[in-house]
Amino acid sequence: MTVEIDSKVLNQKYGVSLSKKSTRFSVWAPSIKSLSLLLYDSSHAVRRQVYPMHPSEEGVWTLEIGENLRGKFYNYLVDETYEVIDPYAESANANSRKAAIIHAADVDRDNFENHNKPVLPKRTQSIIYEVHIKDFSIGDDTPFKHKGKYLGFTEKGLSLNGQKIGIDHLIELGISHVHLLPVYDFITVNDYNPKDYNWGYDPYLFNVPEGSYSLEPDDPESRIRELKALIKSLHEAGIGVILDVVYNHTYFGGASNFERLMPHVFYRKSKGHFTNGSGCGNELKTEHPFVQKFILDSLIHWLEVYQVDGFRFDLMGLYDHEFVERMHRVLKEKKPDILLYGEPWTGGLSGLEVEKQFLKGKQRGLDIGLFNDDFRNAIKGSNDGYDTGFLGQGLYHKDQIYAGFFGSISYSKEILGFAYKASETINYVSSHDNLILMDKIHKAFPHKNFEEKQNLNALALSFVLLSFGIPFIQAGTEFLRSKYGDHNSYKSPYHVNRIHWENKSKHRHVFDYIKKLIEFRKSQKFFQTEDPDVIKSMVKIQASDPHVIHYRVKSPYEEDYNSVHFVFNGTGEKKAIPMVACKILIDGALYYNLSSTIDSGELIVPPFSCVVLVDTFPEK
Amino acid sequence: MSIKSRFKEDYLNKLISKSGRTVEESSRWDRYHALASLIREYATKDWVDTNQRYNDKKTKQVFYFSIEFLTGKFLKNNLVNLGYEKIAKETLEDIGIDLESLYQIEKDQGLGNGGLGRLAACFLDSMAALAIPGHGCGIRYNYGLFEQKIINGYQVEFPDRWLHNRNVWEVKKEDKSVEVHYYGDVIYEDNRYKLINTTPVLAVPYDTPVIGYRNETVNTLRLWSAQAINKDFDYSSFSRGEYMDAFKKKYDVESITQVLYPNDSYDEGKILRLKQEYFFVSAGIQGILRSFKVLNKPIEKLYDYISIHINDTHPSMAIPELMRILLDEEGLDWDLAFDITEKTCSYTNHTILSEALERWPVGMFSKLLPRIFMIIEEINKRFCLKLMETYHKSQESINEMAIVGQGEIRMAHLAIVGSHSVNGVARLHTEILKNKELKNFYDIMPKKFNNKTNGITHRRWLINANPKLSQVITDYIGDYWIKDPQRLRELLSYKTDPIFRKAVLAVKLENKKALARYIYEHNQIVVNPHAIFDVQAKRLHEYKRQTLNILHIMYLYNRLLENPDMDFVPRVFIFAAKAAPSYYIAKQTIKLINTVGDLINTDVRIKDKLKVVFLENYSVSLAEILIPAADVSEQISTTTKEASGTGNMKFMMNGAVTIATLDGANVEIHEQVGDDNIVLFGLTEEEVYELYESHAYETRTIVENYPELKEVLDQLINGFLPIDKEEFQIIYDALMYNDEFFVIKDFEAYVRAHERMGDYYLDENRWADMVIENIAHSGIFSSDRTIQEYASGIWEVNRVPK
Repeated sequence: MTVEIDSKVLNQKYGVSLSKKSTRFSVWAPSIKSLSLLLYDSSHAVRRQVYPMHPSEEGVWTLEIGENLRGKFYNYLVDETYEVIDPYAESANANSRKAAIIHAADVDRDNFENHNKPVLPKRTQSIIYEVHIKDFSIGDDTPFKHKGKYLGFTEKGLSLNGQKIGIDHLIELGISHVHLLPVYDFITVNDYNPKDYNWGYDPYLFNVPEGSYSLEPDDPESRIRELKALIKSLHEAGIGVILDVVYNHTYFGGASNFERLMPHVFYRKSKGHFTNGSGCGNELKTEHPFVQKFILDSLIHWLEVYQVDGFRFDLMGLYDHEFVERMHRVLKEKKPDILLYGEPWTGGLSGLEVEKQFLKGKQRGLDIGLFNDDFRNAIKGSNDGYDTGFLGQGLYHKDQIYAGFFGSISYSKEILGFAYKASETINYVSSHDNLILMDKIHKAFPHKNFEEKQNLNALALSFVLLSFGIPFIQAGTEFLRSKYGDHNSYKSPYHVNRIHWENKSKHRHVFDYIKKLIEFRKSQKFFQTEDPDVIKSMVKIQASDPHVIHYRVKSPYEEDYNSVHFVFNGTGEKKAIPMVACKILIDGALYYNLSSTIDSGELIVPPFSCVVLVDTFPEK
Repeated sequence: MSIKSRFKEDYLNKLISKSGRTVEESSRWDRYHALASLIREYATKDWVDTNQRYNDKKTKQVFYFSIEFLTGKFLKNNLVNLGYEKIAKETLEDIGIDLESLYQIEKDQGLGNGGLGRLAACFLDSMAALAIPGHGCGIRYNYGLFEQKIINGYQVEFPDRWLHNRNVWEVKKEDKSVEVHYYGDVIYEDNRYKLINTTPVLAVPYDTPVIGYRNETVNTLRLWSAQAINKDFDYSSFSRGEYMDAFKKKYDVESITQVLYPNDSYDEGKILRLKQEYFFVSAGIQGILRSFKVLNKPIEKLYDYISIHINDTHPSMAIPELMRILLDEEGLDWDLAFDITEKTCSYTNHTILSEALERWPVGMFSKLLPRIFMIIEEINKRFCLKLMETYHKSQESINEMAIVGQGEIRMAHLAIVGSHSVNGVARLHTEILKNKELKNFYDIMPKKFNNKTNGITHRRWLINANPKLSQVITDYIGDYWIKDPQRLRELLSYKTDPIFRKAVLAVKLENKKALARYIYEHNQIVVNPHAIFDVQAKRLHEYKRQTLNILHIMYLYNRLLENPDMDFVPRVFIFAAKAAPSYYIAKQTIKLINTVGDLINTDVRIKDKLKVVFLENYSVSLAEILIPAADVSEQISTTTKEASGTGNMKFMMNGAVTIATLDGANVEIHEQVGDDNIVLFGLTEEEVYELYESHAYETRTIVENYPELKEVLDQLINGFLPIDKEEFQIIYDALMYNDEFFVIKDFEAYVRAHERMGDYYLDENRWADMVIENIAHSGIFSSDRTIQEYASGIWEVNRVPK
């Protein structure tokens, strides 16, 4: 079913337009009876001026007031009953009670627009680091001045127990992109209560930065200025910024501002009921031309005004794949090096036909990465269960493990991934959802001692960082971050969620190891390879012990090592592998003073560890 | 030397002599004590002069007997009344002391539960301001009304240690001590009755100056404290090794004035309460007569010099006690003694709630106060005889009207029979007394009955509590209104002046911001000062219907949950209330308010459109912060139940708009401001009586036909609230099965009334009209007006200005 919408509707600018001597309001509301603008002098004002608005034939309601009203606030009164906030608002007051009359681009414009942006690497050179604004800096014992705020990311020179933390830690670790959990305005955190916590998958105003992360939530400029400062700070550290965007549902359904203004436009419904493909009560109708316009307008807003470097899409299965293709095209045109990726699944039974859903396979030929749950599950087993994957057993899923290593391309009949090219896979072992890596290890291996568990944590991340494709790590897992076994901490207290920076000094050797892997990855050009045929020609499986993964890469690139061996021992016993003319470059054995050794043509790999070896020939 | 430099010198001397420290070393307490002592000293000359004046002129004096005097703090009030506030502020500023911080440190004198005690305090203030010779007589409780803390949403009571840092204002008058006798045997000797073998208790008076407003008149509040006659412990018991017994007697005696009963209605069968009542009445009357003797005037004309006012029934033993002295000590005959007593005493009725009517069991009473009981019996006997012989009343009526009946002594009947005046405290209340509750009495002694609508002192409740508004008023109409508050009406001529309107609203906003800060500091809740501040501050009682208020809040919350974008004027509902510690359903109502509040205040979905704040430890001082910041005044008692109310007047005077039932003094507020400036709802008096009499009221049909109300009621017990389902069962049951206060019946009208209130508030012009009309018409509710009515209509006393 295609919906015909007049092009006049789709070619409009909505929201507030400010000029020197006028303020124009525009909203598409095709089927309501009346609409008025409620103009408020201040954030806290209760009394307001009411301006009736008038619709065009196509249902576009506009109003122009001959005055620049910047700094004031507004809402719409629908059918004289509902006071609705403009979905096109660019900022709001605390707890999003009113929309601000403001252009986000105008805030701190001079300082921000011309800041030094990093030269970002090729897609496959990206190393993504997923973090939540509040987790990053909150906690009484942290030295951050702006705890739990945007500005926490701008604080340089901080250390704890002699270890760099905060943004300096990110630089030290060597990641390329920070992926921020939602920073658009979400509903369930009280902006005034610094103790409130939520991940933010409860969208309210898609174009407004979240207020609770700002110093002055009630000042609509504060959140804009500070988010820009965050982005600028990361950019100047050479780090790109990815925003987690959730254009698949909204917190409110029947009572949402979209539904009030545009009844039956924004959400998928079946027999009058909202369908629930998101698992959150509703799903956006991304096949509707106006919804598509709204999402594209929103993405371009973030891209142009905030100059972000990419987007992570939540539940892409709920997006109509034709729209994803269009979105991909538009965004690439705007920013050719943009990084786009998302979850190739839904959160429930969707109102969108399965063949239209953007699921695994639909990404082929697009520069869109997909979270690789096959590889993830092969490494560690299920997200929250007692079961294990290759990790700790060394038995199962070897084909999927190899497929993951090779960028999830079609390597052979058995070793078969979903991707056409390696840049289509986002390789990861844990993200904000479900048990964090260390907690999964605690659950699956309750009787192992701590040294073994830490090695398993390091081993799991080794798979991610030594594979073709795009590695993604969850903040803090590089020093064994735990959330105390909380598998769904979306609204758990911040002390459960937050990064405990003191773990960096406690588990410094794990951090050093991860850092070394990242340095190594960045030093070897072959990791950038996307083309399946080239990858096939480079890699070779060295089957020896059934409980060991062992493959070799022969790099075609001059500057790389000639040949590199990767050996993974998933079991609790040490393994001996025949190996000649190689030396150990990275030793993943981190405990009991054990280390990998190579002697008389035999490599000894301690339990739960990985070894990277390079050939000893000086030249190719 | 200028007044200011003298003041500075006096203050510094006082500080050093009182604390032994320099300004720099002194603590906040030292500084407060020095200032308060100095001010009391300054008042002393006027105090002595005033007494002299009254005695020289042999003028008639009023003694206002009340078991409670809820005076609050004195320092600011006394500074203002003496005209020293500006000087004190500037002088202290010079030496680096913030006067405001000294105000704050003073402990409230919280010797009362609510309206009754506060009325007594306002009356004292007005009598002094008007130079009416009138004094208070009460009890110096070591512990005032409990300090309330809210812990986990529940009220928890803590002792009010108001005397902990000593009370600077009072003067102990050891030489004026008298003995009060309990128990004993009555003997007849030399033609007189005598009490022997009594247990005597020493009553020691503590006098506090009641300073008139800039008129060099200082009256006295005399509060009595109980002491063992032999102040020390019983050495003989101690020597025998009976250590506990050695002190027991002392503590037994002192317990009489230890604690204020945390309930201003009747505590059934509490012998200690009975002891308290007789204690201050007996001491007070003895003291009055002792002074009277000094005047050398004939006792037969006592009523030309003395008026004894009985504030509610607690002091009604003043009647038999005065009789006792006239008969047993003065040797007068019964008829003369009774005639004097009746002409001397007058009585105010404060309530028609049957549970608040005092009735003492004859057995207990006659044992504790044998001679008083004899006199009451005699009064009763003669009264019943008169009913029969003069009025030809039926036996049934006589039984109903008797002072002693069914094994109990009915104190209200005693007070009526023994007084020459019986007044109600608002017109409706008085009409109900005359036509319903005390109809039998009214029919035979109609002249005794009269109305004196309560009042409040505009000096404390407007000038001191709301200085900014007072300034705006004075800016426009001059300061004559301070002496004559009815001149507040002159504000009406500026009603259309846009600058005046703006100034009035701006003051309100400032006061609201101050309250918002208080709320944030005490409850950590952020509230929007532009939202409607809707306040219900009063004792927690079913008839006052805090329940109706909180159910309505739940109703609004449900509407907002259904539709968070409802066009809705944001509201902050503010409660302050203490519940009697034994009043379980009242305490659960506090828990309900807090439970609902926690749920609503943390629900970000409703976008701060609704906040619920319970401020703990409601007291005079808190009222002074709360009332100037209120937009809406909740006066929603079940019609007929609130005798007058005085909170309603305080709110009105500070420019709040009342949402009200036509109950108590709300009737007169409505009459003053007119239909447009008050929001009325609910059952009328006739409808309430009709429902009571027809027994036709049932909640079920109302609830079944009103799904939104049913939802709210169900939410009390269905787990909607984050608490055990059983927690509020008692409230649910009371509403559903025994809704004697018509919460269910009035609910819909209350909802609609609030909708109207929201519309009015949104319209700034309309609201400004309402605010100004309320302030301008509030002058009539000054207690100066009330006291003048008492003075001319009941006491027949004159002003004795300097």
